Amino acid sequence: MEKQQKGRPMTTSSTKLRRYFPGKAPAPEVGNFSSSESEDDQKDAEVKLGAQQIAIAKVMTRPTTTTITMESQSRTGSESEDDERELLRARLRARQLAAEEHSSNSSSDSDSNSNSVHRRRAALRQIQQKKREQQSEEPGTSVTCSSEPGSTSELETTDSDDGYGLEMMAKPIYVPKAQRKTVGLAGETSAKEGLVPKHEMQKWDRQDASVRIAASEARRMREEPQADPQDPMTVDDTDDVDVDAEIDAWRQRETARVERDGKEKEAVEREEAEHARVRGMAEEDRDAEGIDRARCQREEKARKRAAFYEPAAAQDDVADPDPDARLTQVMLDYAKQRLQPRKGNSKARGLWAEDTSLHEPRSRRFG
Amino acid sequence: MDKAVDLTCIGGCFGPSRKPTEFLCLTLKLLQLQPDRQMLDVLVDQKDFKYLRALALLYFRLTQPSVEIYQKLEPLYADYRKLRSKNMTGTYEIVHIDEFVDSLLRENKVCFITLPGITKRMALEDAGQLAPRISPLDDESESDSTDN
Repeated sequence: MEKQQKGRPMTTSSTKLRRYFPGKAPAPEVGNFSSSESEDDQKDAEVKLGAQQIAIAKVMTRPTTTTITMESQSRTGSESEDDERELLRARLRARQLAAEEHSSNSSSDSDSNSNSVHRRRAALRQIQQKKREQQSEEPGTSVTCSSEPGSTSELETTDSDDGYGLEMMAKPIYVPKAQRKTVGLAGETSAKEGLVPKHEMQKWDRQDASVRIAASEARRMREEPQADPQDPMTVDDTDDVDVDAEIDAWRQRETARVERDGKEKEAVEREEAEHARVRGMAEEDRDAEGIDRARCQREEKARKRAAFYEPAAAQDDVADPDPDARLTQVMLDYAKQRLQPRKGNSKARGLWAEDTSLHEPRSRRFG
Repeated sequence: MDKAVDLTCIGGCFGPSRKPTEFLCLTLKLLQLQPDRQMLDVLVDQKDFKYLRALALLYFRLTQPSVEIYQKLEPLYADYRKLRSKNMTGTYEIVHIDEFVDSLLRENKVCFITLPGITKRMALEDAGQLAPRISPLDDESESDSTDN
Protein backbone atom coordinates (compact mmCIF):
# COMPACT_ATOMS: atom_id res chain seq x y z
CA MET A 1 0.00 0.00 0.00
CA GLU A 2 1.18 3.42 -0.75
CA LYS A 3 1.74 5.89 1.93
CA GLN A 4 -1.14 8.20 2.25
CA GLN A 5 -0.20 11.63 1.13
CA LYS A 6 -1.59 14.62 2.84
CA GLY A 7 -4.68 15.96 1.25
CA ARG A 8 -5.22 12.99 -0.95
CA PRO A 9 -7.50 10.10 -0.40
CA MET A 10 -5.87 6.80 0.18
CA THR A 11 -6.17 4.40 -2.68
CA THR A 12 -5.22 0.85 -3.10
CA SER A 13 -4.43 1.18 -6.75
CA SER A 14 -1.95 3.32 -8.51
CA THR A 15 -4.63 4.67 -10.78
CA LYS A 16 -4.80 8.36 -10.92
CA LEU A 17 -8.29 9.62 -10.33
CA ARG A 18 -9.66 11.71 -13.06
CA ARG A 19 -12.69 13.87 -13.09
CA TYR A 20 -15.63 12.76 -15.18
CA PHE A 21 -16.96 15.12 -17.80
CA PRO A 22 -20.21 14.10 -19.39
CA GLY A 23 -19.86 13.54 -23.07
CA LYS A 24 -16.12 13.20 -22.90
CA ALA A 25 -14.55 9.85 -23.11
CA PRO A 26 -12.23 9.19 -20.22
CA ALA A 27 -8.58 9.01 -21.26
CA PRO A 28 -7.22 5.56 -20.90
CA GLU A 29 -4.52 4.93 -18.37
CA VAL A 30 -1.29 4.31 -20.18
CA GLY A 31 1.53 2.80 -18.32
CA ASN A 32 -0.36 1.51 -15.31
CA PHE A 33 -0.57 -2.07 -16.26
CA SER A 34 0.56 -4.90 -14.09
CA SER A 35 4.19 -5.66 -14.08
CA SER A 36 3.60 -9.15 -15.36
CA GLU A 37 3.06 -7.88 -18.91
CA SER A 38 6.05 -7.57 -21.13
CA GLU A 39 7.09 -4.32 -22.68
CA ASP A 40 6.10 -5.53 -26.12
CA ASP A 41 2.65 -6.35 -25.01
CA GLN A 42 2.43 -3.01 -23.41
CA LYS A 43 3.45 -1.29 -26.58
CA ASP A 44 0.93 -3.26 -28.59
CA ALA A 45 -1.76 -2.40 -26.13
CA GLU A 46 -0.81 1.24 -26.34
CA VAL A 47 -1.02 1.17 -30.11
CA LYS A 48 -4.37 -0.53 -30.00
CA LEU A 49 -5.68 1.83 -27.43
CA GLY A 50 -4.44 4.78 -29.37
CA ALA A 51 -6.15 3.57 -32.50
CA GLN A 52 -9.30 2.93 -30.54
CA GLN A 53 -9.19 6.38 -29.10
CA ILE A 54 -8.75 7.90 -32.52
CA ALA A 55 -11.65 5.92 -33.88
CA ILE A 56 -13.86 6.73 -30.96
CA ALA A 57 -12.88 10.37 -31.08
CA LYS A 58 -13.75 10.50 -34.73
CA VAL A 59 -17.05 8.89 -34.01
CA MET A 60 -17.85 11.18 -31.11
CA THR A 61 -16.86 14.34 -32.94
CA ARG A 62 -18.69 13.47 -36.09
CA PRO A 63 -21.99 15.38 -36.33
CA THR A 64 -24.88 13.02 -35.74
CA THR A 65 -26.78 14.27 -38.73
CA THR A 66 -24.33 12.55 -40.99
CA THR A 67 -25.20 9.24 -39.46
CA ILE A 68 -28.92 9.59 -39.90
CA THR A 69 -30.33 10.65 -43.22
CA MET A 70 -33.38 12.96 -43.12
CA GLU A 71 -35.43 13.96 -46.06
CA SER A 72 -35.47 17.59 -45.11
CA GLN A 73 -31.71 17.92 -44.98
CA SER A 74 -30.13 19.20 -48.09
CA ARG A 75 -26.54 18.18 -48.66
CA THR A 76 -24.38 17.55 -51.64
CA GLY A 77 -24.24 13.85 -52.45
CA SER A 78 -20.52 13.50 -52.84
CA GLU A 79 -19.59 15.14 -49.54
CA SER A 80 -21.98 13.08 -47.58
CA GLU A 81 -20.83 9.85 -49.14
CA ASP A 82 -17.20 10.61 -48.37
CA ASP A 83 -17.99 11.43 -44.81
CA GLU A 84 -19.97 8.30 -44.44
CA ARG A 85 -17.20 6.16 -45.84
CA GLU A 86 -14.66 7.62 -43.49
CA LEU A 87 -16.95 7.15 -40.61
CA LEU A 88 -17.61 3.58 -41.54
CA ARG A 89 -13.93 2.86 -41.80
CA ALA A 90 -13.21 4.31 -38.42
CA ARG A 91 -15.98 2.37 -36.83
CA LEU A 92 -14.92 -0.88 -38.36
CA ARG A 93 -11.34 -0.37 -37.25
CA ALA A 94 -12.51 0.36 -33.76
CA ARG A 95 -14.61 -2.75 -33.72
CA GLN A 96 -11.82 -4.92 -34.88
CA LEU A 97 -9.42 -3.56 -32.36
CA ALA A 98 -11.96 -3.97 -29.65
CA ALA A 99 -12.62 -7.51 -30.68
CA GLU A 100 -8.91 -8.33 -30.72
CA GLU A 101 -8.42 -6.68 -27.40
CA HIS A 102 -11.31 -8.55 -25.95
CA SER A 103 -9.89 -11.86 -27.06
CA SER A 104 -6.33 -11.12 -25.94
CA ASN A 105 -7.07 -9.42 -22.70
CA SER A 106 -9.92 -11.51 -21.59
CA SER A 107 -7.82 -13.12 -18.88
CA SER A 108 -6.29 -9.94 -17.48
CA ASP A 109 -8.69 -8.11 -15.33
CA SER A 110 -7.47 -4.57 -15.50
CA ASP A 111 -8.86 -1.99 -13.28
CA SER A 112 -8.71 0.66 -15.94
CA ASN A 113 -12.09 2.17 -16.67
CA SER A 114 -11.30 2.70 -20.31
CA ASN A 115 -10.74 -1.02 -20.91
CA SER A 116 -14.08 -1.92 -19.47
CA VAL A 117 -15.78 0.75 -21.50
CA HIS A 118 -14.13 -0.42 -24.67
CA ARG A 119 -15.13 -3.94 -24.00
CA ARG A 120 -18.71 -2.99 -23.51
CA ARG A 121 -18.74 -0.99 -26.66
CA ALA A 122 -17.18 -3.76 -28.61
CA ALA A 123 -19.83 -6.14 -27.39
CA LEU A 124 -22.58 -3.76 -28.39
CA ARG A 125 -21.07 -3.30 -31.81
CA GLN A 126 -21.02 -7.00 -32.33
CA ILE A 127 -24.66 -7.22 -31.47
CA GLN A 128 -25.51 -4.42 -33.85
CA GLN A 129 -23.48 -6.03 -36.57
CA LYS A 130 -25.41 -9.21 -36.20
CA LYS A 131 -28.65 -7.30 -36.46
CA ARG A 132 -27.42 -5.60 -39.58
CA GLU A 133 -26.52 -8.88 -41.10
CA GLN A 134 -29.96 -10.15 -40.35
CA GLN A 135 -31.49 -7.10 -41.94
CA SER A 136 -29.32 -7.45 -44.97
CA GLU A 137 -30.77 -10.87 -45.52
CA GLU A 138 -34.25 -9.36 -45.79
CA PRO A 139 -35.41 -8.51 -49.31
CA GLY A 140 -35.57 -4.88 -50.39
CA THR A 141 -32.36 -3.81 -48.91
CA SER A 142 -29.49 -3.27 -51.27
CA VAL A 143 -26.13 -4.00 -49.89
CA THR A 144 -23.00 -3.10 -51.75
CA CYS A 145 -19.55 -4.13 -50.79
CA SER A 146 -16.43 -2.35 -51.71
CA SER A 147 -12.89 -3.14 -50.85
CA GLU A 148 -10.08 -0.77 -50.36
CA PRO A 149 -6.40 -1.41 -49.77
CA GLY A 150 -5.48 -1.36 -46.21
CA SER A 151 -8.96 -1.64 -44.96
CA THR A 152 -11.40 -4.30 -44.30
CA SER A 153 -14.52 -4.80 -46.30
CA GLU A 154 -17.14 -2.25 -45.81
CA LEU A 155 -20.77 -2.56 -45.84
CA GLU A 156 -22.77 0.15 -47.36
CA THR A 157 -26.44 -0.09 -47.14
CA THR A 158 -28.90 2.15 -48.75
CA ASP A 159 -31.64 1.15 -46.44
CA SER A 160 -32.88 4.26 -44.81
CA ASP A 161 -33.83 2.38 -41.69
CA ASP A 162 -30.28 1.27 -41.11
CA GLY A 163 -28.96 3.42 -38.37
CA TYR A 164 -25.41 3.30 -37.14
CA GLY A 165 -26.43 3.73 -33.66
CA LEU A 166 -23.56 3.86 -31.33
CA GLU A 167 -26.14 4.61 -28.73
CA MET A 168 -26.73 7.90 -30.42
CA MET A 169 -30.02 9.67 -30.30
CA ALA A 170 -31.38 11.40 -33.35
CA LYS A 171 -30.92 15.10 -33.13
CA PRO A 172 -34.31 16.74 -33.29
CA ILE A 173 -34.86 18.92 -36.27
CA TYR A 174 -37.42 21.70 -36.27
CA VAL A 175 -40.11 21.33 -38.91
CA PRO A 176 -42.35 24.36 -39.47
CA LYS A 177 -46.01 23.90 -38.60
CA ALA A 178 -47.13 24.33 -42.17
CA GLN A 179 -44.92 21.45 -43.28
CA ARG A 180 -45.85 19.08 -40.53
CA LYS A 181 -47.85 16.07 -41.53
CA THR A 182 -48.82 14.86 -38.11
CA VAL A 183 -52.38 15.35 -36.86
CA GLY A 184 -53.03 17.33 -33.69
CA LEU A 185 -53.97 15.53 -30.50
CA ALA A 186 -57.47 16.97 -30.33
CA GLY A 187 -57.94 17.35 -34.01
CA GLU A 188 -57.87 20.51 -36.00
CA THR A 189 -60.03 22.43 -33.55
CA SER A 190 -57.35 22.52 -30.93
CA ALA A 191 -54.89 23.86 -33.42
CA LYS A 192 -57.47 26.36 -34.56
CA GLU A 193 -58.18 27.45 -30.99
CA GLY A 194 -54.58 27.92 -30.38
CA LEU A 195 -54.27 30.16 -33.40
CA VAL A 196 -57.38 32.28 -32.81
CA PRO A 197 -57.92 34.02 -29.48
CA LYS A 198 -60.88 32.98 -27.41
CA HIS A 199 -62.64 36.31 -27.48
CA GLU A 200 -62.45 36.38 -31.25
CA MET A 201 -64.05 32.96 -31.42
CA GLN A 202 -66.83 34.11 -29.12
CA LYS A 203 -67.36 37.20 -31.23
CA TRP A 204 -67.69 35.11 -34.36
CA ASP A 205 -70.12 32.79 -32.59
CA ARG A 206 -72.28 35.73 -31.55
CA GLN A 207 -72.30 37.12 -35.05
CA ASP A 208 -73.29 33.76 -36.44
CA ALA A 209 -76.04 33.44 -33.88
CA SER A 210 -77.43 36.88 -34.69
CA VAL A 211 -77.40 36.14 -38.40
CA ARG A 212 -79.18 32.85 -37.79
CA ILE A 213 -81.82 34.53 -35.63
CA ALA A 214 -82.41 37.25 -38.21
CA ALA A 215 -82.74 34.65 -40.93
CA SER A 216 -85.20 32.58 -38.93
CA GLU A 217 -87.23 35.67 -38.07
CA ALA A 218 -87.38 36.73 -41.73
CA ARG A 219 -88.38 33.22 -42.73
CA ARG A 220 -91.09 33.15 -40.10
CA MET A 221 -92.49 36.50 -41.15
CA ARG A 222 -92.49 35.40 -44.75
CA GLU A 223 -94.13 32.10 -44.05
CA GLU A 224 -96.68 33.14 -41.44
CA PRO A 225 -100.07 33.13 -43.07
CA GLN A 226 -100.38 36.87 -43.63
CA ALA A 227 -102.52 36.84 -40.55
CA ASP A 228 -105.72 37.46 -42.37
CA PRO A 229 -105.60 41.20 -41.69
CA GLN A 230 -108.93 42.20 -40.39
CA ASP A 231 -110.70 44.53 -42.70
CA PRO A 232 -111.11 47.83 -40.86
CA MET A 233 -114.49 48.23 -42.48
CA THR A 234 -115.79 45.26 -40.56
CA VAL A 235 -115.78 47.48 -37.48
CA ASP A 236 -118.26 50.22 -38.19
CA ASP A 237 -117.38 53.65 -36.86
CA THR A 238 -120.30 55.39 -38.51
CA ASP A 239 -121.84 58.00 -36.27
CA ASP A 240 -125.48 58.95 -35.73
CA VAL A 241 -126.76 55.53 -36.67
CA ASP A 242 -128.84 55.46 -33.47
CA VAL A 243 -128.51 58.87 -31.93
CA ASP A 244 -130.52 58.16 -28.81
CA ALA A 245 -128.49 55.08 -27.98
CA GLU A 246 -125.28 56.91 -28.55
CA ILE A 247 -126.36 59.79 -26.36
CA ASP A 248 -127.48 57.42 -23.62
CA ALA A 249 -124.15 55.61 -23.75
CA TRP A 250 -122.35 58.91 -23.59
CA ARG A 251 -124.42 59.98 -20.61
CA GLN A 252 -123.55 56.83 -18.76
CA ARG A 253 -119.88 57.31 -19.40
CA GLU A 254 -119.98 60.93 -18.35
CA THR A 255 -121.91 60.09 -15.20
CA ALA A 256 -119.32 57.49 -14.29
CA ARG A 257 -116.57 60.01 -14.83
CA VAL A 258 -118.31 62.59 -12.69
CA GLU A 259 -118.81 60.09 -9.86
CA ARG A 260 -115.23 59.02 -10.06
CA ASP A 261 -114.02 62.61 -9.80
CA GLY A 262 -116.36 63.20 -6.89
CA LYS A 263 -115.07 60.19 -4.96
CA GLU A 264 -111.48 61.25 -5.50
CA LYS A 265 -112.29 64.69 -4.26
CA GLU A 266 -114.02 63.34 -1.17
CA ALA A 267 -111.11 61.06 -0.35
CA VAL A 268 -108.72 63.98 -0.54
CA GLU A 269 -110.96 66.16 1.61
CA ARG A 270 -111.38 63.40 4.16
CA GLU A 271 -107.65 62.98 4.45
CA GLU A 272 -107.11 66.70 4.85
CA ALA A 273 -109.77 66.83 7.54
CA GLU A 274 -108.14 63.98 9.41
CA HIS A 275 -104.80 65.76 9.23
CA ALA A 276 -106.39 68.91 10.56
CA ARG A 277 -108.10 67.06 13.38
CA VAL A 278 -104.91 65.35 14.48
CA ARG A 279 -103.03 68.62 14.36
CA GLY A 280 -105.67 70.25 16.49
CA MET A 281 -105.59 67.58 19.24
CA ALA A 282 -103.64 67.82 22.49
CA GLU A 283 -100.38 65.96 22.67
CA GLU A 284 -101.56 63.53 25.32
CA ASP A 285 -104.66 62.62 23.37
CA ARG A 286 -102.59 62.21 20.26
CA ASP A 287 -100.16 59.83 22.00
CA ALA A 288 -102.97 57.80 23.51
CA GLU A 289 -104.61 57.46 20.14
CA GLY A 290 -101.34 56.42 18.56
CA ILE A 291 -100.72 53.77 21.19
CA ASP A 292 -104.20 52.43 20.80
CA ARG A 293 -103.82 52.29 17.05
CA ALA A 294 -100.48 50.46 17.34
CA ARG A 295 -101.95 47.97 19.80
CA CYS A 296 -104.82 47.22 17.45
CA GLN A 297 -102.42 46.70 14.57
CA ARG A 298 -100.23 44.34 16.58
CA GLU A 299 -103.21 42.34 17.75
CA GLU A 300 -104.47 42.05 14.23
CA LYS A 301 -101.14 40.81 13.00
CA ALA A 302 -100.76 38.37 15.87
CA ARG A 303 -104.22 37.06 15.13
CA LYS A 304 -103.30 36.48 11.52
CA ARG A 305 -100.05 34.85 12.50
CA ALA A 306 -101.76 32.58 14.99
CA ALA A 307 -104.33 31.68 12.39
CA PHE A 308 -101.53 30.68 10.07
CA TYR A 309 -99.78 28.42 12.60
CA GLU A 310 -102.87 27.22 14.46
CA PRO A 311 -105.91 27.42 12.24
CA ALA A 312 -108.07 25.80 14.91
CA ALA A 313 -107.37 28.63 17.30
CA ALA A 314 -108.66 31.16 14.81
CA GLN A 315 -112.12 29.65 14.79
CA ASP A 316 -114.69 31.25 16.98
CA ASP A 317 -115.16 29.15 20.07
CA VAL A 318 -118.63 29.78 21.45
CA ALA A 319 -117.91 27.74 24.56
CA ASP A 320 -114.90 29.88 25.43
CA PRO A 321 -116.26 32.91 27.27
CA ASP A 322 -112.92 34.71 27.25
CA PRO A 323 -111.47 35.00 23.77
CA ASP A 324 -108.86 37.50 24.97
CA ALA A 325 -107.39 34.91 27.32
CA ARG A 326 -107.05 32.45 24.46
CA LEU A 327 -105.46 35.11 22.33
CA THR A 328 -103.08 36.04 25.11
CA GLN A 329 -102.12 32.38 25.48
CA VAL A 330 -101.49 32.12 21.76
CA MET A 331 -99.34 35.20 21.90
CA LEU A 332 -97.44 33.88 24.90
CA ASP A 333 -96.80 30.60 23.13
CA TYR A 334 -95.56 32.45 20.13
CA ALA A 335 -93.31 34.61 22.29
CA LYS A 336 -91.84 31.48 23.91
CA GLN A 337 -91.25 30.05 20.50
CA ARG A 338 -89.41 33.18 19.53
CA LEU A 339 -87.32 33.00 22.70
CA GLN A 340 -85.82 29.73 21.54
CA PRO A 341 -82.65 30.78 19.82
CA ARG A 342 -82.28 29.27 16.43
CA LYS A 343 -79.24 27.26 15.68
CA GLY A 344 -76.52 29.57 14.51
CA ASN A 345 -78.66 32.64 14.93
CA SER A 346 -76.13 35.24 15.87
CA LYS A 347 -78.72 38.02 15.86
CA ALA A 348 -80.57 36.69 18.95
CA ARG A 349 -78.50 38.69 21.39
CA GLY A 350 -81.13 39.22 24.04
CA LEU A 351 -84.75 39.75 24.85
CA TRP A 352 -84.93 43.28 23.52
CA ALA A 353 -86.97 42.08 20.57
CA GLU A 354 -89.57 40.73 22.99
CA ASP A 355 -89.96 44.04 24.79
CA THR A 356 -93.58 44.98 24.36
CA SER A 357 -93.51 48.04 26.56
CA LEU A 358 -92.65 50.29 23.67
CA HIS A 359 -95.11 51.91 21.33
CA GLU A 360 -93.68 50.20 18.34
CA PRO A 361 -91.84 46.90 18.49
CA ARG A 362 -88.18 47.19 17.65
CA SER A 363 -87.86 44.02 15.69
CA ARG A 364 -89.17 44.07 12.18
CA ARG A 365 -90.25 40.48 12.51
CA PHE A 366 -93.00 41.54 14.85
CA GLY A 367 -93.93 44.53 12.81
CA MET B 1 -102.17 66.41 -43.97
CA ASP B 2 -103.82 64.43 -46.75
CA LYS B 3 -102.74 61.21 -45.14
CA ALA B 4 -104.07 62.37 -41.80
CA VAL B 5 -107.43 63.03 -43.38
CA ASP B 6 -107.41 59.52 -44.85
CA LEU B 7 -106.75 57.84 -41.51
CA THR B 8 -109.06 54.96 -40.70
CA CYS B 9 -108.00 54.07 -37.19
CA ILE B 10 -105.98 55.11 -34.20
CA GLY B 11 -103.47 52.93 -32.39
CA GLY B 12 -99.86 52.34 -31.47
CA CYS B 13 -98.07 49.17 -32.46
CA PHE B 14 -99.53 45.83 -33.34
CA GLY B 15 -98.48 42.35 -34.24
CA PRO B 16 -95.57 40.24 -33.01
CA SER B 17 -93.08 42.46 -34.76
CA ARG B 18 -94.56 45.63 -33.20
CA LYS B 19 -95.42 47.24 -36.46
CA PRO B 20 -96.50 50.89 -36.05
CA THR B 21 -99.83 52.13 -37.26
CA GLU B 22 -100.22 55.06 -39.62
CA PHE B 23 -101.61 57.07 -36.74
CA LEU B 24 -98.36 56.65 -34.83
CA CYS B 25 -96.26 57.45 -37.86
CA LEU B 26 -98.18 60.65 -38.49
CA THR B 27 -97.79 61.61 -34.84
CA LEU B 28 -94.06 61.35 -35.31
CA LYS B 29 -94.33 63.43 -38.44
CA LEU B 30 -96.20 66.14 -36.58
CA LEU B 31 -93.52 66.17 -33.94
CA GLN B 32 -90.97 66.71 -36.67
CA LEU B 33 -92.98 69.44 -38.37
CA GLN B 34 -93.85 71.22 -35.11
CA PRO B 35 -96.89 73.17 -36.27
CA ASP B 36 -97.53 76.48 -34.49
CA ARG B 37 -100.21 77.02 -31.87
CA GLN B 38 -102.75 78.56 -34.22
CA MET B 39 -102.52 75.65 -36.61
CA LEU B 40 -102.87 73.26 -33.73
CA ASP B 41 -105.95 75.02 -32.40
CA VAL B 42 -107.52 74.81 -35.83
CA LEU B 43 -106.83 71.10 -36.03
CA VAL B 44 -108.25 70.45 -32.58
CA ASP B 45 -111.35 72.59 -33.00
CA GLN B 46 -112.35 71.32 -36.44
CA LYS B 47 -115.10 68.71 -36.41
CA ASP B 48 -115.09 67.39 -39.95
CA PHE B 49 -112.34 64.80 -39.62
CA LYS B 50 -112.45 62.95 -36.35
CA TYR B 51 -109.18 61.02 -36.84
CA LEU B 52 -107.36 64.24 -37.65
CA ARG B 53 -108.83 65.68 -34.50
CA ALA B 54 -107.61 62.68 -32.48
CA LEU B 55 -104.14 63.12 -33.98
CA ALA B 56 -104.11 66.78 -33.01
CA LEU B 57 -105.32 65.92 -29.50
CA LEU B 58 -102.46 63.50 -29.00
CA TYR B 59 -99.92 66.02 -30.27
CA PHE B 60 -101.41 68.68 -27.99
CA ARG B 61 -101.09 66.41 -24.99
CA LEU B 62 -97.49 65.68 -25.82
CA THR B 63 -96.32 69.24 -26.28
CA GLN B 64 -98.42 71.74 -24.35
CA PRO B 65 -98.40 72.72 -20.64
CA SER B 66 -100.79 71.20 -18.10
CA VAL B 67 -103.17 74.14 -17.72
CA GLU B 68 -103.72 74.48 -21.46
CA ILE B 69 -104.19 70.74 -21.84
CA TYR B 70 -107.08 70.78 -19.35
CA GLN B 71 -108.57 73.89 -20.90
CA LYS B 72 -108.44 72.50 -24.44
CA LEU B 73 -109.23 68.83 -23.93
CA GLU B 74 -111.97 68.85 -21.29
CA PRO B 75 -114.62 70.46 -23.55
CA LEU B 76 -114.17 67.49 -25.89
CA TYR B 77 -115.79 65.25 -23.26
CA ALA B 78 -118.99 66.17 -25.05
CA ASP B 79 -117.88 64.60 -28.34
CA TYR B 80 -119.35 61.08 -28.37
CA ARG B 81 -118.31 60.08 -31.90
CA LYS B 82 -116.80 56.68 -32.54
CA LEU B 83 -113.18 55.96 -33.35
CA ARG B 84 -111.74 52.73 -34.69
CA SER B 85 -108.80 51.62 -32.53
CA LYS B 86 -106.25 48.98 -33.50
CA ASN B 87 -104.94 47.04 -30.52
CA MET B 88 -101.80 44.97 -30.03
CA THR B 89 -103.21 41.84 -31.59
CA GLY B 90 -104.13 43.66 -34.78
CA THR B 91 -107.87 43.58 -34.23
CA TYR B 92 -110.12 46.63 -34.24
CA GLU B 93 -112.41 47.93 -31.54
CA ILE B 94 -114.60 50.96 -31.08
CA VAL B 95 -113.44 53.81 -28.85
CA HIS B 96 -115.26 57.09 -28.38
CA ILE B 97 -113.58 60.46 -28.52
CA ASP B 98 -114.55 61.31 -24.94
CA GLU B 99 -112.96 58.04 -23.78
CA PHE B 100 -109.85 58.88 -25.79
CA VAL B 101 -109.68 62.30 -24.15
CA ASP B 102 -110.18 60.78 -20.72
CA SER B 103 -107.28 58.37 -21.30
CA LEU B 104 -105.08 61.25 -22.47
CA LEU B 105 -105.80 63.16 -19.25
CA ARG B 106 -105.52 60.29 -16.80
CA GLU B 107 -103.29 57.53 -18.12
CA ASN B 108 -99.52 57.32 -18.50
CA LYS B 109 -99.38 55.42 -21.75
CA VAL B 110 -101.57 55.90 -24.78
CA CYS B 111 -101.05 54.48 -28.27
CA PHE B 112 -97.77 52.89 -27.24
CA ILE B 113 -96.43 56.29 -26.19
CA THR B 114 -95.50 57.17 -22.63
CA LEU B 115 -97.08 60.54 -22.06
CA PRO B 116 -95.24 63.31 -20.24
CA GLY B 117 -96.26 64.05 -16.66
CA ILE B 118 -99.19 66.34 -16.05
CA THR B 119 -100.17 68.19 -12.89
CA LYS B 120 -103.24 66.93 -11.07
CA ARG B 121 -106.35 68.94 -11.67
CA MET B 122 -106.97 69.36 -7.96
CA ALA B 123 -103.52 70.82 -7.46
CA LEU B 124 -104.17 73.35 -10.23
CA GLU B 125 -107.55 74.18 -8.73
CA ASP B 126 -106.01 74.72 -5.33
CA ALA B 127 -103.40 76.91 -6.92
CA GLY B 128 -106.16 78.92 -8.58
CA GLN B 129 -104.97 78.25 -12.11
CA LEU B 130 -108.04 76.27 -13.05
CA ALA B 131 -111.70 76.58 -12.27
CA PRO B 132 -113.59 73.53 -11.08
CA ARG B 133 -114.73 71.40 -13.94
CA ILE B 134 -118.29 71.70 -15.10
CA SER B 135 -119.58 68.60 -16.75
CA PRO B 136 -121.75 68.82 -19.89
CA LEU B 137 -124.35 66.84 -17.96
CA ASP B 138 -124.54 69.63 -15.41
CA ASP B 139 -124.97 72.09 -18.22
CA GLU B 140 -127.82 70.08 -19.61
CA SER B 141 -129.53 69.80 -16.28
CA GLU B 142 -129.19 73.53 -15.65
CA SER B 143 -130.53 74.38 -19.05
CA ASP B 144 -133.48 72.02 -18.50
CA SER B 145 -134.23 73.62 -15.19
CA THR B 146 -134.07 77.13 -16.65
CA ASP B 147 -136.34 76.08 -19.48
CA ASN B 148 -138.79 74.70 -17.00
